[in-house]
Amino acid sequence: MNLYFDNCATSFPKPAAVAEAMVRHLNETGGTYGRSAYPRILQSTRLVEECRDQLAAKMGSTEAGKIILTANATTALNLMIQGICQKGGHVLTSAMEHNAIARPLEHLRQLGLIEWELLESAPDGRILVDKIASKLRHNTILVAICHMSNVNGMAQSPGEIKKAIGEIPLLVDASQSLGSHPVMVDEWGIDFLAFTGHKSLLGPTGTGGAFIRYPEMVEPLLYGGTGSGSDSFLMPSFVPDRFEAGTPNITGIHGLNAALKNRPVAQHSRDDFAALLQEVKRNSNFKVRCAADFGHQGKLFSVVHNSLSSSELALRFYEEFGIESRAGLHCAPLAHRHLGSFPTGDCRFSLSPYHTPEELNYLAKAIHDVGK
Amino acid sequence: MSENREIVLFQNIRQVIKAEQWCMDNSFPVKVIPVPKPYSTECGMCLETTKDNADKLEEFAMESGMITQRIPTTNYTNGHK
Ligand SMILES: Cc1ncc(COP(=O)(O)O)c(C=O)c1O
Repeated sequence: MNLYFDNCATSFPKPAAVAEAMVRHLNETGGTYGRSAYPRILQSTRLVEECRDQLAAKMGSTEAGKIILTANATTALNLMIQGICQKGGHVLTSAMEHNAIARPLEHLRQLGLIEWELLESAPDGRILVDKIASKLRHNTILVAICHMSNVNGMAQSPGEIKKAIGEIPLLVDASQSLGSHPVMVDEWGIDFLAFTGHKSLLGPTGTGGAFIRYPEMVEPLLYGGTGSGSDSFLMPSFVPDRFEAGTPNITGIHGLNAALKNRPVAQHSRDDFAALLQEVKRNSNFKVRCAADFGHQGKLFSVVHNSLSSSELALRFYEEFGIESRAGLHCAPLAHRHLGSFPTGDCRFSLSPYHTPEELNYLAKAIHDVGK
Repeated sequence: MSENREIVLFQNIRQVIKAEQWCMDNSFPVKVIPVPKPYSTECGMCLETTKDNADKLEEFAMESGMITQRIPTTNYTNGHK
């Protein structure tokens, strides 16, 4: 039985092809990215570009060349937030943010560069789109939001938010959503997107990236060799080179590419997941953290018990049922403040496409028994 | 190599790979070679092909918003000729 329910932290298992591709790169094919033109390099360079193309298709963009490969979503968010906000201004964000957005914003605020404030939200964290206009200022330079909360799984509607903010750039953190939930960068008008490879995309750790529609709006975070324009001390103006100084995680990208090409068919349905949530909600000892509308529900939820702490819950789930869950604030103190569980946090369960209906039933029963 | 061969330089690696892919898809023989010495500050790879193919390749590159530079192979000597 697969009792790993911490896929929001990092997904497990991965498609078998992921490790195979990485081992092949390490043991057989080798090769760096660009830099020269012998067949070994050519092969691994082609694969890096194939991965960029796959990612573009996944996020609904026709501009794969604007995808920057980074070590994770945190690096991508720092690149974009710090790179966009260098001249200062006002930034709006949501009540459900992870520290991957909140901390870079706070850092820039403490440097005296920006002011940031929260958009108004419904109790489940969904941004009240008709209240956005009243928050916009003449100097609002960015709206940065998490697409899918890593605390309650609620997914925002980036397309509606973009319509409400017009020309102001929209940055979306798709760390939890890309791979498990539709993301349509072009259709929704998303200007900047961050993603990570090791969660819903089922790739290895150390992979992720940014989609940057307007490279000229972003100062690089890292400066160094790109294998292009090397006669100049300045970073190239063109993408992806402008933001990809240094040798990329080529082995990891082999793994991510394999994950994208070998995504498993989900072994449980949305209805199975809905039934699990219904079952958990029936237990009156738990408050269940999820989206108010199941149409906006991603592949995770969390629970707060009326007497057991989140860490006691997680320990009991593991010791009594072998279930791996996550207790605490999940690096998202803003979300817990909004949901009313700061600073104690909650106990989170996050699903994988590999979970079967039987495993979801087992989880439901375990939650029922622990909650008695 | 014959007189009518050219190298096509691109702004970055991604463009070289996309152009090479396009050539393969359209059955144009091209060779990926290291950028010859006099032009080596640009990215490490470029394409080498016949002048006719380079014409077509340039058209594709322009349509795709790529910036290219064409150099007849007779213009340099660095061991790749
Ligand atoms: C919503 C959200 N944003 C950003 C991140 C950061 O992802 P990574 O650790 O891969 O950079 C996470 C990871 O937990 C997340 O849940």
